[in-house]
Amino acid sequence: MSKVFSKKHLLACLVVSLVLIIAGAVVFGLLGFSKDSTVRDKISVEVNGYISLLSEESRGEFLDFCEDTLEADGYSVLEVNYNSEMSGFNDSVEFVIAADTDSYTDQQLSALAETLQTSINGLTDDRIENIESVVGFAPSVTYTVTQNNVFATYAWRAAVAGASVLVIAFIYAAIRFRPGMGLTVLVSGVHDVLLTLALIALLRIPVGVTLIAVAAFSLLVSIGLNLAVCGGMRKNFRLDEWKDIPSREAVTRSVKESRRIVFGAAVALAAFVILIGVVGAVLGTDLAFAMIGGLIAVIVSVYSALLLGPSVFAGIKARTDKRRAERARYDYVPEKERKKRGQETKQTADGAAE
Amino acid sequence: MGKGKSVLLIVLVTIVLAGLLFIGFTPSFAVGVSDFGSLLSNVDLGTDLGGGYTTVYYPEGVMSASDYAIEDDETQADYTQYKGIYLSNEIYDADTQQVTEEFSSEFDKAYAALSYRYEQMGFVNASVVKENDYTIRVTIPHLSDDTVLDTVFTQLSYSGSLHLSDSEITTSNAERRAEVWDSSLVSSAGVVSAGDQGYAVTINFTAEGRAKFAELTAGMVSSSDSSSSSSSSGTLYIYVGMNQIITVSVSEEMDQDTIYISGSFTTREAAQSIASTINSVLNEDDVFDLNINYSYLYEFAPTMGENTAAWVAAAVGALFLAAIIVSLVKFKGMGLAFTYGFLTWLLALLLCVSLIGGIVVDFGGVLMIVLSAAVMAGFSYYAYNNIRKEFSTGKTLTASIKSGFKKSIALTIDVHLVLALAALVLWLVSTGTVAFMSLIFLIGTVLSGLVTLLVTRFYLYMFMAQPKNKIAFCNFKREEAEDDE
Repeated sequence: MSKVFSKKHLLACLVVSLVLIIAGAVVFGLLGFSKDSTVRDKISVEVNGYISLLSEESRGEFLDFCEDTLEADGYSVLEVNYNSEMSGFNDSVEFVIAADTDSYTDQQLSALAETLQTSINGLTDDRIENIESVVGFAPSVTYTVTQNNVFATYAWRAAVAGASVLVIAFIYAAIRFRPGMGLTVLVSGVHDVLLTLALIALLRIPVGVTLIAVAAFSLLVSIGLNLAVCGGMRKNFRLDEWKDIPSREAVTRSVKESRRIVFGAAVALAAFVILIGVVGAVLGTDLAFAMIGGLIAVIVSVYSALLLGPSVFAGIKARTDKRRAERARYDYVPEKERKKRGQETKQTADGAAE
Repeated sequence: MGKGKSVLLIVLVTIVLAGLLFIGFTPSFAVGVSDFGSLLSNVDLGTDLGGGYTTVYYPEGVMSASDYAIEDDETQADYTQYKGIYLSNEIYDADTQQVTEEFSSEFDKAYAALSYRYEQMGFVNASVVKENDYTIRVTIPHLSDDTVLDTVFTQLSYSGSLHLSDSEITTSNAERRAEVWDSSLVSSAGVVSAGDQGYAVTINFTAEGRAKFAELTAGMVSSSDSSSSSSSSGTLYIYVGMNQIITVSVSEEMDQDTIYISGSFTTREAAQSIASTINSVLNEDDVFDLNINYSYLYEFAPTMGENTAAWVAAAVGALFLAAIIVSLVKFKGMGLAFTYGFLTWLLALLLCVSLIGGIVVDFGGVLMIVLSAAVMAGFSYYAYNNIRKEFSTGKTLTASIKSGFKKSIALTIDVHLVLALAALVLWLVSTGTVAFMSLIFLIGTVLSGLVTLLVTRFYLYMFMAQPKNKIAFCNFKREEAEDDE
């Protein structure tokens, strides 16, 4: 018997996954997902003024000046967002100084805005070329406390869509392949999405709305890879030479044959995810974090397609094969067939008598 | 296939693919007074890869710091600083540091309504957030037509209930505002394509609403007949609060479940903003009575970095190139067929994504492009490996190709069908990022299935007619049987 897809192995896989999923759920329940810059609450200092009148170089110097002034006051700038006015020159620059809404008091923030305002008003062309034209139009400095909004409808609709997809995949695989394979695709799909989300929560990977995209990606990769493995098994198990092989052994051999297609697709996806992740890391954006989520989804799907899914199916196949063997041993014939045979025997006997 | 026919087809296919590759991927350049823009540059990007627009809505009684700075002393005295904004003394008590309950409740309703409206717009990566407790910042991706931007932002901020009237509602007939068309009369509003006329807003009535609307339009037609001098008769006015959102010419009694209003919506966004606003005011409990406005409209750079889209495109290109090189090295002639098939798939996908209106590519969309490419490459390699296995059993090359493809068909169809179904369901049920990424995956998967099952196979037969040694062309080796001693 193959040790790879034994009952013990299945139990071990399920226990490990369950522990990780529960731990992830607990962390999510207590702390939520770690938020990236697109969805987190924040406190920022905002400078509004005719900054677009400056040359690109001077604008860069002006932004550096503002950043230095804020940092000189003891605040660290986490992010700078530049917004250009659509139909004018009154641009807006946002210096994010905290990733929550409780870090500083209103008094501290008012004082900070005032300090920056005074510093900007004191700038001259000697320091930054053409800055007096900006100062002349009375730039304003204020601070903003932003509370982000969770798009509940969006998340729920995606969850409902994901559940519908799993049901469709289950029905298709159960009818077209075997009921056991439908169950395997269903279990693997649920497992992969939950484990991916749990690992993202546990590893505190910062995510935003991209999390839902990663979950959908995980679901589709899982279905694709599991169907590829199940399709291979269906093809093999129809062949006569496979019929006498013990169920777990047969599953092991078939999965071995499917490894190439699974690894091929997984390596291509992982290569892309890593490549873009490196680009994200170099550019210093949230892209790198989103790609770590994508990489987790690929790894989890490969694990379930090559280990968990086959273990589930091996158990089901072992049970159905055993039942079939028992029926064969007792020369079990369905009732309809028995009646039909009885009639045929009677007719033959009648014919012989005649 | 004959050699002559094969050469002709190879030349033709190569010219078509080269031409499409040029149109698809060449960087933009000037041609005379206009610019040549490739299909790739025509792809709409989400805020993460392409940036977008942002603005801050200020409710009545709330002022920005920059506006406060330019007000006179008298006006400034009527306002009190609250965080980074200024609140009117009418709504804010500086002593207790509390806003009035009425303002707070209306603002919460306005925030909920705007969140709902922007979510209904189906924007990719849009966000609606509270700033300084009493202002609302909205961020959306670039629109297909910037000229409707102001209209969209304005229409989505309208307060008040829905009114349908046969005359303009002014101060003289303000009592008409009491006639509210709520969910008991109107079930929903939507948007459909109206062909050459752009887009149409649809308003679906309940049975009660249908009867009331028929009565209203019948009255309009009869009053129009009797007094042709009246300029307003025969025109239906639709209001949300004090704002007239649509006017429609009515020439006959309209007794129908749904009305289609077209003619003035050149973009889907303009029509959808009307539909979203109507949908959000159908439930009386969700209607807010607070004027909200914005002063400045800003454009911002991609949230994932200035040049991220270019880098991502380069990475995807490098990956695709690697897939092509691997296939050429591993399968030689079959790899060549794969290369042509892959390019056909890529160009067809690019054509769909850039030319079908409303598809937006963001981070999720890129993931789906790569996933469908992996599906396509995976099943092509699967078919080639089956051909190789068949060949190793001693069959002729032609028989191996036939049998190899035949063995791959079932699994290829199964996986493509399930993935396409999954993408279809995700697209139909989801909104925002997931809806767009699913649509891209749906197109990619359908194209992948067609290319893998038909086009690549056709290309293989096209190339196979050329070489003398077809076995070497496919990078196969026939193992010589050992001579018996």
